[in-house]
Amino acid sequence: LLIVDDEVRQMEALCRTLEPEGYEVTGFTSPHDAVASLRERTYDIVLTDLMMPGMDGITLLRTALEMDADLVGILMTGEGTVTTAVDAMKVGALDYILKPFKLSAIRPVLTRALGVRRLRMENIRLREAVGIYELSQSIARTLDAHAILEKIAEAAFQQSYAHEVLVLVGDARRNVLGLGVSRSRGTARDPEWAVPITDDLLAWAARSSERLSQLDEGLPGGPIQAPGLADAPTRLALPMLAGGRLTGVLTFEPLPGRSIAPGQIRALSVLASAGATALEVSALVAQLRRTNEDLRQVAWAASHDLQEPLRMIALYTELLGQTYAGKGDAKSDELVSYAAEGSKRILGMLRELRTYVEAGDRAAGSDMHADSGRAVARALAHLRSAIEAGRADVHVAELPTVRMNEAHLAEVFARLIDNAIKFRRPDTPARVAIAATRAAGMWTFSILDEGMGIDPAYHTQIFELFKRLNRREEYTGHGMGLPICRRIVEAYGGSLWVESQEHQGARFCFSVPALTGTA
Amino acid sequence: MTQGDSILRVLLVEDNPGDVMLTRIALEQSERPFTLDVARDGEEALAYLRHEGSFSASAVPDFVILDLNLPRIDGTSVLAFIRATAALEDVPVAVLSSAPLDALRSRAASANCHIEKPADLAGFMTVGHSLWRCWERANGQ
Repeated sequence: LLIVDDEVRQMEALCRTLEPEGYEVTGFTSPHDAVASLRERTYDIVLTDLMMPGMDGITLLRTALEMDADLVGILMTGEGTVTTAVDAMKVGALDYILKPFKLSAIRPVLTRALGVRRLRMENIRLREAVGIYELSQSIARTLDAHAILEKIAEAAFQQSYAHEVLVLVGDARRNVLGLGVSRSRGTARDPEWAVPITDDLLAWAARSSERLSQLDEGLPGGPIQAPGLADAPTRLALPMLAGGRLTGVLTFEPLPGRSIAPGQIRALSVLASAGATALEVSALVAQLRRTNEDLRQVAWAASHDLQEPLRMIALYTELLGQTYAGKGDAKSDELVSYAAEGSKRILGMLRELRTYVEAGDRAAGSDMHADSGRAVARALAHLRSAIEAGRADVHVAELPTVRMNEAHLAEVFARLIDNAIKFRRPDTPARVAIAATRAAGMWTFSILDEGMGIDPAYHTQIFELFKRLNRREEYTGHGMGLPICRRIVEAYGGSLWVESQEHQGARFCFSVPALTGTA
Repeated sequence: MTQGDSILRVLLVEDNPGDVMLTRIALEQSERPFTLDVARDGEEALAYLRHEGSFSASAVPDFVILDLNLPRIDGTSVLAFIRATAALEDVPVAVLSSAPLDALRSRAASANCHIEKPADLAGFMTVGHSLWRCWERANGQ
């Protein structure tokens, strides 16, 4: 409670009466001193006399409300005129009291004022909460760093009603704070403008974040000055910290003669840290994408460029074997055949690796409409000789149409059915059943066999690259079928898994998005 | 057909000596007489086709067998030059490269045929037959 009255006795009497009531009272006889104090700290209620030398009560209230729009102002006046009352209300005073008044008369007025103040503060908190919620929703959907900066700047500008708002961002090496985005009612700033990140600045950031988190009801007024930001509008500077790391600084220059209210500062500091986290996430995602792209290139080079020299080795080993067959000593033909076999196997592995690498990019730009019954038929046609060799009985239920490229779906079926036949029980015909069920927008296909089954201990391993559970002499293949299938299915937003016990057959399942609007 | 036509002049544009030898062996599987000139990269191929430098005496080839992945100037540029040059535009061109067929077709659409280099010997020997079929079809045989 701030009391301003040029009559010392009156002011002191008010202070003395109200302090025991539980009010924290500060009194001034000079309106100018009162204004200075308003800049320094926060008040809930200002109770001021109208007629004072140097500044009248209406001007004082106007100034106070410009600094904190949620302040409650009450005017004490000896002139009970309608015009005075109207003037007081116009500048935003809540009430006025006619002098002289009994002290008992002021109690209900102050109680009401305090109630209004509480409502206003609550309202601020609600506005903050809604604003911050909306902003974090919108930022969470954004991964583009520039779009995040724009949103922070726009929100900060709206929240603060400032003359200028700058979002300063640390560069990649965190040496310099550069101008990310700005909003200004005046002329725009030089985009090249930057300040070094010094130890002083980092210490300031740590200190201010501690201060901001400790204060509940607001901050003492006045500038929060950051070191090294002399050129920036530094009436208010808020650090943008993510996990203790300084990602940037948000600075504000209020409109002339205005300040930024404590409630707003709190909201803005929440905005600053939400923005910092969003920027950090966006930087991490960008880094992850780069790493992924690098890895893709390595995989591509390995599967593609290594194939050429290997092709030469395979061809010439074979040529060597043919040209000199039976002409060397007894062992030489065998040795050459091992070399030929080995190089052929590496070529096969590289082909599978290439398929695996490419499977990750498949969904892009392909025809997303697959008749899965037709895809299974294609797979079975492709596997004709394996089906004959395994005396396989493949039962196919009625199958749906799904959101996937049909050739890719056929490849997944071909590889899974091939496995189901290959890993049958010795000397027993293979029996395979294919069915589909729908749940939550996805079709789940199952390929069930009565074969050897897989010990759950190996359920993870079988999806690793080039992992095989059986000897090469007994079973063909490179150990890439399941990883390739999983990668293809995942590229379409589905998943692939196995349900099996050893010696009890296996059920491989994979889910694929259903076509929207179909049963 | 003109004089000397019984011996076909084949230009093979191929940087890998191993593939040059295998292609020669594959072409020799047929009884058809031919001479094989080899350009080891795209620049050499262009010099040959333009009769430049050491190739000033080179004749217009009857058949070009082209690898696409060449150092410096790649096969697609050589193909584009052939199709854009009046004296060469009707020369049959077979693309023999190690990428999948779809990729070869899309990268070198104006070639007369596309053949993927096989990784086994029996497969490579059939390439000789495919190449000669390609030449015959281009000449209306």
